[in-house]
Amino acid sequence: MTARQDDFLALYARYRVDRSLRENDERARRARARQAWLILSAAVLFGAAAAAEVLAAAKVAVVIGPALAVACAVAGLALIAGVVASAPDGGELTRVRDETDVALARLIGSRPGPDAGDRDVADWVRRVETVLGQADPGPDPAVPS
Amino acid sequence: MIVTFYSYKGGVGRSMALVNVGEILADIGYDVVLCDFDLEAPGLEQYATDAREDVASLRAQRGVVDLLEEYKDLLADPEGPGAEPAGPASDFKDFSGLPLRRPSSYATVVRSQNPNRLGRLRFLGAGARDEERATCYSESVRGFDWPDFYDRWAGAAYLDFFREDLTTGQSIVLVDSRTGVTEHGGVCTHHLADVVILVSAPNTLNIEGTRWMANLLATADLATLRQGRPLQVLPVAGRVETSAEVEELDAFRKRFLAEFAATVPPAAGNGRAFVEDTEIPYIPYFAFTEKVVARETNTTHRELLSAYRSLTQSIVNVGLDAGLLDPPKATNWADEMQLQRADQERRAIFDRHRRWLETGHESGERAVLRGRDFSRQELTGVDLSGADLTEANFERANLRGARFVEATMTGAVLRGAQLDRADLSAAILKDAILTGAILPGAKLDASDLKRADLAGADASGASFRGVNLASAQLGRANLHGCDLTGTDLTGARLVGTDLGSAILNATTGLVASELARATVDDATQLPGEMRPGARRSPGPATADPATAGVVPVSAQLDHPALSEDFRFLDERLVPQLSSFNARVGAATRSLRFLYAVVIGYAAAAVVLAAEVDHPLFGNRSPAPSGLAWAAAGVLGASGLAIALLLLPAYRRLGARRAALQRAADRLRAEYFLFLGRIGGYGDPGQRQNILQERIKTITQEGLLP
Repeated sequence: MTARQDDFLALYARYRVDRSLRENDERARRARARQAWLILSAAVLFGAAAAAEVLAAAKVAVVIGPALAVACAVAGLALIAGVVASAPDGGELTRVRDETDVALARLIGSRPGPDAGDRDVADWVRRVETVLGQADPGPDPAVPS
Repeated sequence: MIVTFYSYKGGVGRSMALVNVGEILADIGYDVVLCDFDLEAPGLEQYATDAREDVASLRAQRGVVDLLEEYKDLLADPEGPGAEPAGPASDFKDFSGLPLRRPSSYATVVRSQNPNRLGRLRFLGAGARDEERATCYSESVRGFDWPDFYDRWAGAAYLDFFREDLTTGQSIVLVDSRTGVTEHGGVCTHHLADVVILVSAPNTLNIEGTRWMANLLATADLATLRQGRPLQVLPVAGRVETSAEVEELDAFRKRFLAEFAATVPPAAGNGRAFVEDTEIPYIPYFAFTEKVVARETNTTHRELLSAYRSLTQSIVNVGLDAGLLDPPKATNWADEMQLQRADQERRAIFDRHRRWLETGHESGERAVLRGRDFSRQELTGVDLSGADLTEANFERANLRGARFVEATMTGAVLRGAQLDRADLSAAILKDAILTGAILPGAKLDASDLKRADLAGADASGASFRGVNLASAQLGRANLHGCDLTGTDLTGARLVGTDLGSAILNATTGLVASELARATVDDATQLPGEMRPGARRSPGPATADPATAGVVPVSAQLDHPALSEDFRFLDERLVPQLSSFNARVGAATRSLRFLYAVVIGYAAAAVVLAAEVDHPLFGNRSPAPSGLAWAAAGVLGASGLAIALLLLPAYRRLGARRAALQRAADRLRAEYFLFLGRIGGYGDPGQRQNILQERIKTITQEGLLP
């Protein structure tokens, strides 16, 4: 491996792989937060509705006061907002993130060694990019003359 | 004078070196005898002449073994047939009353193609080995008992006779010794020699063997045995492959110097210079046949010839110093050697600076390179001491460890150049632009940086002793831990300059108001009249890869090997990437705005409904039930309408942002894919064409509605 390739690999690991992993972590964290929000909102809204149904069935006089009304309205809006905001599936994203991390860790462990040629380095980069899902592998490079 | 060429192992270029040295010595006027004492593997005649018929003739000549046999025959039977001199009387000499053949009588003059040769070259072979006598020779060598020769046949006396006869008339005898540990190898190195050339190949076995022999030749016992006759040792590195494996070569050179430089006698000059100058490079051209470079006219292998000439000069110097030689007949010999050395140095400079000197003006050490463009060049360790580099452009060049001692660099552009550990002592850098230059550990002592611009330069730990920094721009420069002793800072700008732990003793022109704009710390050493300012030094700044661009400029500077690629990417890809990043940012802001509208309207509706239903503000009575329900209905319907209207827009915008983000990610990936495809294409231009095509495709797809 030439110094030039070694330079490139160090740069690549630092600014491409590390960065991608950090971005993956951030996306997964946001997805989990949205999921928690959705569950909490649904529980509050439907829990309140269920409680009201039970009270009505029991012939208990129910007066919807302003506080409860506000709370129910907020919960309903929060549910709508949560549905809108959590369009990507958080669980799926987390799973993909985990798989990506494992695959990247494996690829980082199999970095081209000292005997690697330019072609090996290019192939390795293409494999990482494929794992990251952010670039087409592209056409195979022509054989160097 | 007898010079023995010895090597611990074979194949190191010993015989080749011997013959080349012999040719050069003969050319400059010495009477030289090449003596093949490698009795078990003879063949020096192959090197001694280029003519095949002469080789056969030399092989048929009587030589060392024949002399030894004749001597023993004479001693065994002084009255026998061998006692009668066969040949001219001048070929014999009285030896304790016996007519003993002079070894020089078997030394045959070798024809030379050099008409200007001032001396002559003779050859004394190992022994007659033509077809008829080859078997006889082998038997003689196998049957020769050296201990017996010394003990019973007065071998020591005969070898003294041998030595004296061959060196008559200040001849130089070059003896090709047997390798390894042999008895007759010991005769060559311990008994005959005045100088031993120890040739070593660049591997551990050879170095250790050579070291062992050097130690043997330095023992006190040997000096006693030689009755005080001095013995000099000259270690020579042979067969050195200089074109590959730089690290291994460097390690070998360091080891060889450490092991042997001290053994070089003073007459041969400085030990280090001797070892470096006489290093014999391995040149495959000479590995296939017995070609002798010293016989070639206008050879292209000057470095090889130069090594042999340097070795010859050292041998001559040692001989002159020991009184064993007269000066050579070639009176201009010393001048020639000096010229050759100068030429060699010029060539070394040329090789180092080949990149631009091939197309530019070259005048030895003081290269004139005014206004030349070296931007983004790989110039690590380059030595441009004394060069005229006025207004030269070194922008973002890699100049780590470079030397610019006493160079003239007025108005030079060194913006963003990598100059760590560079030596710019006494350089003239007036009006030079060093903004953002990287100078940690650099040496700028006594240089002139008047009006130079060092804004934002990182010079932590650099040495600026006695530097003229008058009117220099040092704003935001990192001078943490710098030695600024004795500098002239008259009119220098220090806004935001980091002077933490810097030494400012004996500076002139430093004013308190300007110093107050810089940052200092408790470790800053200020001139006596100054007091440390209140601002604290933040220390050296570090780049944050997370917030920097695709690859921060600092990383690009860290990896200058990729600078050409960076430039291409900077011009072609990064603008597109920046554009997409900006679009993603705009889409994100739009989404946040829509989200805020929905949440804001919902919150307003809730508050309004509550107000209608149950007044929160003021003391008015609740609205009638019908009105409350009507209000609730209007608010609910409008909320639903807004949600229905905005939700698709929100989703469209979300999808758009995702597409833009994907395109940005793909471009970022292409950035690295491009770098990773280095060498992946037969035509390097193809790599750039592919990148341009892909940028076009990604951009079009990313901008699709």
